[in-house]
Amino acid sequence: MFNNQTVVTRPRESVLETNKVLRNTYSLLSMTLLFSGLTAAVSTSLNMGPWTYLISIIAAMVMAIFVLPRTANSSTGVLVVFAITGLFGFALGPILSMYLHMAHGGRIIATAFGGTGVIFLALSAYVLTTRKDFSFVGGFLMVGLLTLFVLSLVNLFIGMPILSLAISGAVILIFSGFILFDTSRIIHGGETNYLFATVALYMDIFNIFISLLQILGIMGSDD
Amino acid sequence: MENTFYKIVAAIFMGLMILFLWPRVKFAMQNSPKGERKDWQTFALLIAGVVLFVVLLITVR
Repeated sequence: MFNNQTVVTRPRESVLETNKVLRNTYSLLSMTLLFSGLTAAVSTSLNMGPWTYLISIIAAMVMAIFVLPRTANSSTGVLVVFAITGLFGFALGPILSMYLHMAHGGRIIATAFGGTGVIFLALSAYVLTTRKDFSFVGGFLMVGLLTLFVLSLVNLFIGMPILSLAISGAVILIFSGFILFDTSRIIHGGETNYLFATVALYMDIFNIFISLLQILGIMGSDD
Repeated sequence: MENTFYKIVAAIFMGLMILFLWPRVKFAMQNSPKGERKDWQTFALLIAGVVLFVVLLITVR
């Protein structure tokens, strides 16, 4: 009898724990998206220079790699997540300024923003409703990510516009895959820390937004 | 000159990210569960949906 109860209770506790992680992740993700929208607005209105993007991204990645793991199990971790996402938002300033000075730039930003939202909501809804396990794509996505870094490094010096466009397209596909992978990890108990889960999903959204913005900007230019 | 310096800093950052990712990629490749054909088909179908959606956004922009 006791054993049966234990067997029944454990999965239920596990499900409750998973739901809690999921709820906390989406709550924090909403707040960090709003916060990074605010820092992006501040950075845009201050007309920050082109170095802002690189410095903010480096600072955010350093915090995500070295500071977050040390604070993820304390309340300080939430502040670190806000700092990371705030820096990512601040990085957007010079890019958004550039688009806002283009013809139809505001519409391109709005389309990229809406498109990113649709991709994120559709893929998340698929995983949440089917509860399909996408852990099998982990290796494939990591190889894809590494390849993207190598190609971006090469393109930094050769500067081929077509390769830049191809990289942006591939970034959207790889990070769409990461949305499936990260959401699946949360609901199957692979990620039990909502701070890590939030940063992972935030980075998926950020990278899709930036790349969609670039693709729509290139395709939308009259040159 | 400033542009070159920007590229060098960006390149160093990307190089460090590649070094950081490399052991994680090896680990993920060795430890990721193997998906069945049907799983990969589902994944490919969802990614194809994203491709179609992006094409739609470019077309209607």
